[in-house]
Order: sequence, then structure tokens, then C-alpha cells
Amino acid sequence: MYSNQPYQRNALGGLLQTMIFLFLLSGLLFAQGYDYGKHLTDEEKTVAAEWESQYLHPDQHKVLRILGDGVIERDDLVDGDVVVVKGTLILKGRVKGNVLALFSELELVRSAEVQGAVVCVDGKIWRESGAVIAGDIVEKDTGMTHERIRHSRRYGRHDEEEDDSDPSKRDWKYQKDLDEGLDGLWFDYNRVYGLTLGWNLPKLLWWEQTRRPFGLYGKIGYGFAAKRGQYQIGLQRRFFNDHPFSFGGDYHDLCDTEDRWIIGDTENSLAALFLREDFRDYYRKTGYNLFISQTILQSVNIRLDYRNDDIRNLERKTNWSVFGGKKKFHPNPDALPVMAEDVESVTSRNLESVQATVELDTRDSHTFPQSGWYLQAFGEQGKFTETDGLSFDRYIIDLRRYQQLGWDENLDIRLRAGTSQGVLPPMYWFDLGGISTLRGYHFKEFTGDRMVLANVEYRMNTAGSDWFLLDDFDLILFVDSGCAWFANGHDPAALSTYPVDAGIRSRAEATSWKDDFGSLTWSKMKTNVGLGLASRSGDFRIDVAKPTDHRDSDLVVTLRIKKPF
Amino acid sequence: MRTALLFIGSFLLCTGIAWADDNLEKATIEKTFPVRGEMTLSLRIDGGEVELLRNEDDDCQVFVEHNKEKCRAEVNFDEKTRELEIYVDHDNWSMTKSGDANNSNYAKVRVKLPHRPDLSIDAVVKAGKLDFTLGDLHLVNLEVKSWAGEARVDFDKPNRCDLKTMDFDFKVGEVKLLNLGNARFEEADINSNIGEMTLDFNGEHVDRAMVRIDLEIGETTIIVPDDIGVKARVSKFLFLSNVQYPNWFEQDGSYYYSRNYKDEKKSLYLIISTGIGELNLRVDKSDE
Repeated sequence: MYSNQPYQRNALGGLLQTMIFLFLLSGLLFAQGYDYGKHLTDEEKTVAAEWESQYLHPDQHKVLRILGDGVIERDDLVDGDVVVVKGTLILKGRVKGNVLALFSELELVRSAEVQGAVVCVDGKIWRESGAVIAGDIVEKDTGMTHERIRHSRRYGRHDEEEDDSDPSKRDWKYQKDLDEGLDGLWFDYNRVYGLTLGWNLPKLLWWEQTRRPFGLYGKIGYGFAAKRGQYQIGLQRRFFNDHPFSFGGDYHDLCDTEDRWIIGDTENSLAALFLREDFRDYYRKTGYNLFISQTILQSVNIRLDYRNDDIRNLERKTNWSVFGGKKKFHPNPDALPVMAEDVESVTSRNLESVQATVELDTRDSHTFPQSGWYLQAFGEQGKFTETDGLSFDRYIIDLRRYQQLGWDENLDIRLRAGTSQGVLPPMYWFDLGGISTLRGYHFKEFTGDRMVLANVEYRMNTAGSDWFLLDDFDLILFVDSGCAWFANGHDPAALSTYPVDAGIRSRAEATSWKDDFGSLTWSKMKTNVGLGLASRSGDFRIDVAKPTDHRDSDLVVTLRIKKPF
Repeated sequence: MRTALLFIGSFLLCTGIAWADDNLEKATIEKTFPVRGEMTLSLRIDGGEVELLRNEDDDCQVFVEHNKEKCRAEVNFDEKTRELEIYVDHDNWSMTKSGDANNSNYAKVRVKLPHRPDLSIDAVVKAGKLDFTLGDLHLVNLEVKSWAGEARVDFDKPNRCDLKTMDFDFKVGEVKLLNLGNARFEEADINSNIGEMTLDFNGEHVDRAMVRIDLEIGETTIIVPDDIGVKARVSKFLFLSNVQYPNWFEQDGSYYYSRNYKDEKKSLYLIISTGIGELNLRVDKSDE
């Protein structure tokens, strides 16, 4: 008799074991160090070793290695030497050590600064006026001929000679955007405010770069479909340079969403404007926020927030887009519990909450990472002050590893989990399905106050090969697996109707945030597999995904202009 | 396409047209300045035909023909700074329109440049026709900006010194930059917004040079000689641009290398940002 009992073991435990195995495997691969392998001939290896011994000092500096084409961006600082092999390196940022180009070309733009020597073996140095080179400039022609490596990446593939497990030892750092979007103009399009046009103050990064200890941030705009303005005005004071401590606060009236981890502002606006697809749900918040933030190590930041907001539901106000035919934007769900029929309706509720966020980030790039860790742990205690003290706690952890398996391969892994305690308002329910989550399923097909999600992507750098489509695209194989559910089988309708039934409320409040994960089994996990094609620069991508449990379901095709994670 | 683009450019610039009287009185300015050492030519022209060419003598000769009732023109030479400023200001845009040969209301500016002094040229022409023949001069800096109209710049003979600055910015119109290899530049910036453009890098004095080329809308042809190693990095604008290249080049991702790139000491690096339209790379074979 057939039995599926072996598959009924705890899915979360199995998932964690799998993830730990993958992480350990990636650590082993990482520890193996670089090897030019088949990319250089024996003769080239001899030449490379000779020049490396002369210009690299691994005992004194760390070494960033790039095989094929690469870019060191304007805000990047390489705290060591750089070697590029068989490609073109475009240097826009700063290098503290030497730059050695082996069978490669170097392009130094105006903003480039090299504190050591620039050495090019069997290649040319292209230097714009304004580029600073403090040391020697050497071009050497060995007379050898070389096959180029057909790579083209926004960020160079690199390997490091030292362990980066300590985030303070990162080889290079990047300046992270503190907010998405353009400086100055504020443009947004969604189904609840329609077109919002306005003005952004400079990003906090700008104030830091201009060495001011304070930063004024915020924006003001008008949503034409909602016929309502939005604004935010805030001030941050910053202390210390090495390990900055800052505090500040802002006052605001904004359309907000919990779905930024799924899709960014710009990409969602374009999807809504052109394709009539809005991948976020919204609520309106009016109030203030106070925060303190401390950077402990170069890559670790802790932040505490106190928030006091009046929360309001928002309705769909527009159904217009450039394309989209007869499609309609889906309705915007209620952010707040629905009032029972015998209760006087209120238009807003005051939410008071304390949030803590710990972030560790050792990724080599914010937009197109190829190596490093990212961890974000978030916790919030919240209370609706005007509704019988209805309260909740919620916790979200997001752990990512970007691992190079070789010059031509990457393994990217994300594990995300969310849980809660008490009566979680609908705007904070965890949703899975669709882009960036379970890509083979419908958008937000699964909802709950518990959530686990794993995404694994194996990326092959096939761009530049001579194979038909793969000449222009990288190939990506991915697997998504996850589940969202309500603890102890709580009825979402009952949880989202005010006043919440006393029995349901007491059971919800008695349920710990740790509870009910034991009931998760593999059979409950939703899994899809898929194939993706991504442009070399990573800013255009097509995913095709299929669920493993729906035999007759269609393939789900997704077009993206950003990496899902 | 050329006609359409010129039409768009003219339409944009000639909004609010009032047709000019053909019988308005014309005036001419003719001046000659002896120049030694160095000279800066500053052109600020609202509209007209602007011609620059070489003078075999050491003098700088200026000829300006304009309609003095509808147009103000000044020619000033500061002997201390050795700056020659030519200024043509029309009362309205209609005056920049060209009529027939006899009744044209175009301002006409012709400057014969001396070939011995170190020259800097800074030209801003809002609308009109540019025809610069700049070979065999001591040109040190060249900045040209044109808002609308045809432009032709030809280094028919090698420049006599290194050209430190070469910066072209064309908004609308057909542009031909010829024999740029004679300009003796190391770095250049060329921007074209709307219109056909031809960039010809033939010439005798490319040692190692890089050119940043920013294109928006229109067809662009880049001609390179086969005695220079050429590398081009092409950043495409989505799928709306197309690159055509002969088998003299081989593609490696977004890079294009001429077959002689590694062997030739003379090298040219083209950093091209394409817009909407076709980009043609062509090679001029010396044995053909």
C-alpha cells in the first residue's frame, strides 16, 4: 500500500537542514580560493605569476580578482589590490593598492583614483583626464596572443584571498541607496493614488557624502487620482565617522506598503503605468516616527524606531494604464479589521509601535550582488490604542547568501520567515505567491500570520556564448518553496472583524510566535521550479515557472527589470 | 528621415513665425585683425550661415552680413585677451530662416582664421548652417554647440598642434565631422540628439585617442581607417538600437574590436551610448 508518510516529517526542520547543508557547501567552495584553471594557458599562467609576484602583496593587501569584464563603480572603494584577467575593467571608484591587468584592458574614467601603480600586460590603458594614478603606469606587450573571455557583467566576478566571514574585513564597500528613485523628481504610479508627482529632498546619503552631521530628508507630492497630497519631512543628526550613531524623526502623511521586499518603487510604478499590474497593497499612514541607529561594524547596523500613526484603508482609485486591454487592477484590500455590522464605523485607527531592526550586509553590490551575506532581523510590538488595546508582535527574518561557485556560476539563496503573536492586522499578514516569492503561483495566493519561504537560484554566465538566445542572456535555474498559514487554524475572517471574538482573541494572544511551526510538513509546502533568462547587466529578466503540485497548471511567465532578491 | 528631422527641428525653433519682409536693408561688417601668439574665437550666433576657414596670412578676417533692422551684429576684438567675439542676435526666430539666394534674411558669418597663433574656438549657434574647415591650424581647443541645422566640420589637413579639448554638442540636424584623425586629439566628446550623423576618423594623427559618443535619435555612421586599432564599447538603449559592423570588427559582448587592434600602436577607443536608431561601423581600407 502506498504511503506518503515519509514526506510528512517536519518541513521547516527539513528546509533548515537543506539550507544549512547548502550554506556549508558554499563555505567549502568559498574556502577553496581562486584558480585560473582553464582560463589561462600554461604560458599565460607563468606570465601572470611573474607579474603578480612583482605587483601584488597578498601579505599586506587583500586582492580583488576579476575575470572577464567588470566595473568598479564610482562609490566603490577597494581596500587592496585589483587584478583583472582577460577582460576590460572600467574603473570609476577608488583603489588603495595596485591595479594589475593581465591580458586585459583598463579604462579609468574621470572619477577613478588609484593610489598605487597601474600595470597592463598585453593590453592598453585608457585614461580620461582627471583620473588620478599616484604610482607608476606600465604597459607591457609580451607578444602573446590571447583568447578573450566572453563575459560582460555590471560587477566583476571576483574572488578573495582572505576569509570574509568577518564583515569588518570586506574587500570593498559600496554606498547603499537609502531610498529608491531619482533625486529631485518624485514619480510614482499605483492604483490607489494614481499618478503622484512631487519633489524629493536629497537622500540622506547626499548629506553624508557632503560631510554634514545632519540630514534633512523627505518629499512632497500630489496623487492625482486620490486627489490628495503626500508629504514627509524629517531630520537626522549623525555622530562619529567610523561607527556612525544617528537619531532623528519625521512627520508624514504617506501611502505606504509592506510589499517593498517583493518589488521596488520604480519597477512597480512602471508595471502599473504600462501593464496595469500593481504588485503591492497599500494603506495610508499619518503620524510621526522617531529613531536611533548605530552602526557597530562596517556592515552591521542596529536601528530602533518608535512609530505613532493613524492608519487608514485605501481604495482603488484608478484603472488606467497605457496598455492592459480589459484588465483591471485588483482591489486594494483593507489594511484594518473590518467593523462588525453593529459597531460604529471609524475611518482610521491609531497604531503605536516599537520596531527593532538588525542588519548585516557583506554583499559586494547592492543592486547585483555576486558574493556575500545579507541578514535582516526585524521585530515589532504594536498596539491599536483606541480599540480595546488590540495588540500584536511580529517578527521577520531574511537571510541571503550570494555564492560564487566558479568564474561562471553563482548560487543565490534566500530564506525568509515571518511569525506573529496576538491579533495581527490584515496589513501585516504575510503573503506568498507571484513575483519574488513563489513564482509559479498566483499573486498573493497564500496568506497567513506565519510564513516560511526559500528561494534558490543557480545562475550560469552563458552570455557571450554563441548559442542562439544565450548569446545575449544568462541562464538561471530556480526553485521556490514556501508556505503561509494562520496559526492553529485561526479563521482570517474572524481575526479581521472588529470587535474580535473574545475567545478567538484570547487564543490568538495565548499562541506564542514560536508555536505552530511544528505542524508544517512538506506536503503543505508549495514548491515551483523555473528557468530564467537575464540580460548581462541584470536589468532585464524573463522567468518561466511551474508549480510542482499542479500538474495541469499553466506556466507562469514573469518579466522583471530587477533581480528578485 | 533627414527631411523629417530637419522639419521637426525647424518647427520647434520657428514657433510663432512672422514672415520677414524680403526687402529689408542689409549691412555688412568687414574687419581684419592682426593676431600674434594666441587667439580665442567666441561665436554667439542666433541664426545664420557660419563659415570658418583657414587664412594663409597671419591676419584674422571677419565678414558678417546681416539685416540691420531686424538683427543686431557685433564684432569685437579685445587686444589684451586676444579674444574675438562675434555676436548675432535676431529679433525673432523668423529671421533665421533662409530665403532664396538674393533675398535671404540669414545672417552670414565668415571668419578666416590665421594659421600661426594658438587658437581656441567656442561656437554656439542656435540655428543655421555650420561649415568649418579647420585643417592646418594651431587649434588648441574646440567647443561647438548647435541647436538646429546642418553642420559640417572638416579637418582637411592635419592640425599643427595637439588639440586639448574637442567637444561637439548637436541638438537637431544633419552632422558631418570629417577627417577627425587629423585633429590630433586625445579625448573628445560628441553628443547628438536628433538627426543623422557621420563621424569620419580618417587622418594622420591618431596616436591613442578616446571618444565618448552619446546618441539619442537618428542614424549614425562611424568611419575608421584600417591603419588604426579600434575598440568600441557600445551601450545600447534597450532593444531600440541596432549595430551594423563589417567583418573587420569582431564582437565580444558589448565590445567591438578591429582585427588589427592588438597589433596597431595607433589606437582609437570609442565609447558609444546609443539611442534609437542604427549605428553603422565602417572601415576605410587603404588598399581600396
